[in-house]
Amino acid sequence: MTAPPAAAATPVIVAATGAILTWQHAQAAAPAHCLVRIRTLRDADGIATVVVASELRDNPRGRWINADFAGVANATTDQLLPAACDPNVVRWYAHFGTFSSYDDAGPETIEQVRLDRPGDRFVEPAAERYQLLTPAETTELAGVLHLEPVDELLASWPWDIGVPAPRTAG
Amino acid sequence: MTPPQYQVPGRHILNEVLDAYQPFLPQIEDQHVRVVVFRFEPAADAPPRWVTRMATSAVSAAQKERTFTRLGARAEVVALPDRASLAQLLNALQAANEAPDVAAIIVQTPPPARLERAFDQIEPTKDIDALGPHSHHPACATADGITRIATPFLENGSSCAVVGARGFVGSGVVELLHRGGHRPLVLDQGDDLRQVRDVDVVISTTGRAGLLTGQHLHTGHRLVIDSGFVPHPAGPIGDVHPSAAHLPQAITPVPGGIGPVEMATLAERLVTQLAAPQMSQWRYLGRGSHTDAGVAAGPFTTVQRGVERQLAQAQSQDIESARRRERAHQDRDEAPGLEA
Repeated sequence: MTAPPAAAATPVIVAATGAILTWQHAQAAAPAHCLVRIRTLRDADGIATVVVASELRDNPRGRWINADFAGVANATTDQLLPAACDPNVVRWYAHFGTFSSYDDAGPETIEQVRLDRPGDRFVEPAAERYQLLTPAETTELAGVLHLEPVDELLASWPWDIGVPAPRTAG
Repeated sequence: MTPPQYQVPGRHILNEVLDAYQPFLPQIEDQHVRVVVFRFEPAADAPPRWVTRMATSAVSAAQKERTFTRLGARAEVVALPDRASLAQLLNALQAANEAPDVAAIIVQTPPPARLERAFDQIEPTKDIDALGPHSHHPACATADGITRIATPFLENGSSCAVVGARGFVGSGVVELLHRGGHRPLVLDQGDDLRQVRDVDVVISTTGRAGLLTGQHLHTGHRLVIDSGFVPHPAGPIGDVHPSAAHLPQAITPVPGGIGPVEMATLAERLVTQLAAPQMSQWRYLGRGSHTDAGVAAGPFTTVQRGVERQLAQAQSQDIESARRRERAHQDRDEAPGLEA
């Protein structure tokens, strides 16, 4: 039996970027921001682009990413996705954890968000289109995408972006 | 000689408020209303800190159930798994929004972070804990209760600090203090909490057991408000470390401090909504009102005055309505009959 090519077993990251995305929140009618990480992966099926949007605790209450995920996707497409990337085939994820709130936030979660883009803009998905990954799937995806812990990543950035403070105080 | 530490009598405050509201009980019972309280159950593999937080939440939900039942409403606690989908919570809230017999909806905080946006969908008239942006109340009941307890201690320009000022409760406290003309020192994660040594009143809303120690608290503090409550085999622990709890001149005990005060505030909001729309808010009278006679003596609040005024007002409105009906009746009798 012939072993499958390595690329089929484990997707390989061929491009990676991360940024603080700012957009005009449709529900709150005010600016909102989140961490966006884009990964371009290559496997046996070809090239795929994955976007993970992480809710940050210093994003004001009421401007949640999952209350305007279409806004996140449209702003990511406009500002961050390479022109060569077809937004219609991007896989979108919403990411929450301790970095998302000044209060306790519960276990870290990732949800796949199935978005429609009837014209050249994404439309807000119904709540049913958020698919919560199991803890094992979350760990696996974070590994494949090399998602560093959010607080560590933001703390490592040398510029001042008003990132959330460390959770431990005192 | 140092005077003995004063403990804010949260349980006495709650009992006084609930007793004062008993005249409204028949009116509330006649409405056959429910209050729905949602809380979250941690998954079996959840982190211990989250499990503890959800245990605290369960205790608080049970306290709410008891409080609303004493007021003549039916309380219903609904436990959802913390892995509930957003759609599941939104559907549950929608059903409660639309049910005519549901007078109020509460979701225990904190929820899993990804579900917090569902708060925005709570019908504002039923949002008695100010979870959504359009609630008729300016802040959650815990923040409101904390501010009422702090207010008598902040007279004469006393300074204060809010620890956990960016959290759900803490931000509400800061908002209400600002409205009251106070300028609290706001502290949260990453700040040097030893700054609280320089203020007169410390308000801690972090929910982190034992966070404030002898490094932070001293005998010069006029009041320390501790809204923490973490279940522990030896008894619940608040934000104040047990080794430092004796230091301030006055403190809200854990248990029996802010928890009951929160319930007294929620009780007022429900009674106001269902039976006494013009009733004034109860105010805490401070330590001066009852220390001479002993803590159990009371009155601890202005609640009785507010209830009496409301009842007198309702009575005079009833008399006035009866007079109007009588006048209308007389006018009809005296009017000339219409010819066919």
